[in-house]
Amino acid sequence: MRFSLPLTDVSGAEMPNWDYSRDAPLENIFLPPIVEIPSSEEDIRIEPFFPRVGKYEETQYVITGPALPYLPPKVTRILERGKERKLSAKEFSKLMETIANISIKFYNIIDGKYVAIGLNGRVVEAADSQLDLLSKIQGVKFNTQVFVWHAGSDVFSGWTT
Amino acid sequence: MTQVWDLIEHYRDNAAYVRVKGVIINPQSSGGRAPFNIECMIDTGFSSGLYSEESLRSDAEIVGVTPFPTEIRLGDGSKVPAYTCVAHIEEIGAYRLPPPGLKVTLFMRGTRKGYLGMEALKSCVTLFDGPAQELKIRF
Repeated sequence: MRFSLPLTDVSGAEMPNWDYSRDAPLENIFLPPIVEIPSSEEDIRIEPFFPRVGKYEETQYVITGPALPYLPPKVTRILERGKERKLSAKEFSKLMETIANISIKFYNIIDGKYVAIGLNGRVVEAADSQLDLLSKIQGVKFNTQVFVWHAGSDVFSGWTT
Repeated sequence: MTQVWDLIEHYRDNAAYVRVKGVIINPQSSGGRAPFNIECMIDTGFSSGLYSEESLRSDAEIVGVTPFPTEIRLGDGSKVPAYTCVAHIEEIGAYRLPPPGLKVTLFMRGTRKGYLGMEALKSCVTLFDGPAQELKIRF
């Protein structure tokens, strides 16, 4: 099948039709890349398939999404333990504080910002005030448990002492 | 010139208490509203809006709002874990605030009674009349 639409150059003059018979067979022309829709935020995996004329090449790229801060084994052990049983208030407090400190340092969050951080260390939202932050994330479903923190402080709010 | 006060509450046990009616709204779903009615002590040392017992957390979860864990500092200086979300105060005492109410931060923890903090009082004039044992608020 040939296209009958005449090709024109920049000036508008008609150009000779392309001879499609010289083209590569249909199976060799460019195909769009096959992209898998990631099931979770941590597992973003794109596998494009780029066929080339005369030679097929399958190239695989793995993109893991934005970088996550490194969590030490001590923290990951507590996270694993949290899947099996409920963590005590003291354990959970310590966990939040450790992850918040690592995450704030990793993402260079300036002091005074209010942030929502996932237990994998990712900052999911940031705002200038408590109310702004909570308004943004209220009712939103996240893949991981999210806690809120005040950068540059050891507590989110409370009584002035 | 006499001051016109919107709300006058008498002290109880040498402290000012008000009844606060409000609602936790899920902005992601229409009709997701969890109303609450708690008695709060006015606490000028509390920097946020509202503090309530943790039983309110399950009410919020019913309407799809999952309160976020965090850490707060208590009056004695200790750090404790608590849950937080946004709430709208609709009534303070007998005074009904114009819709949609006053948007404040709500903290939930333990079984302690409610506290109304400075975030909720920042838009009004509050007078603690010690000799008359009265709390007066003008919105």
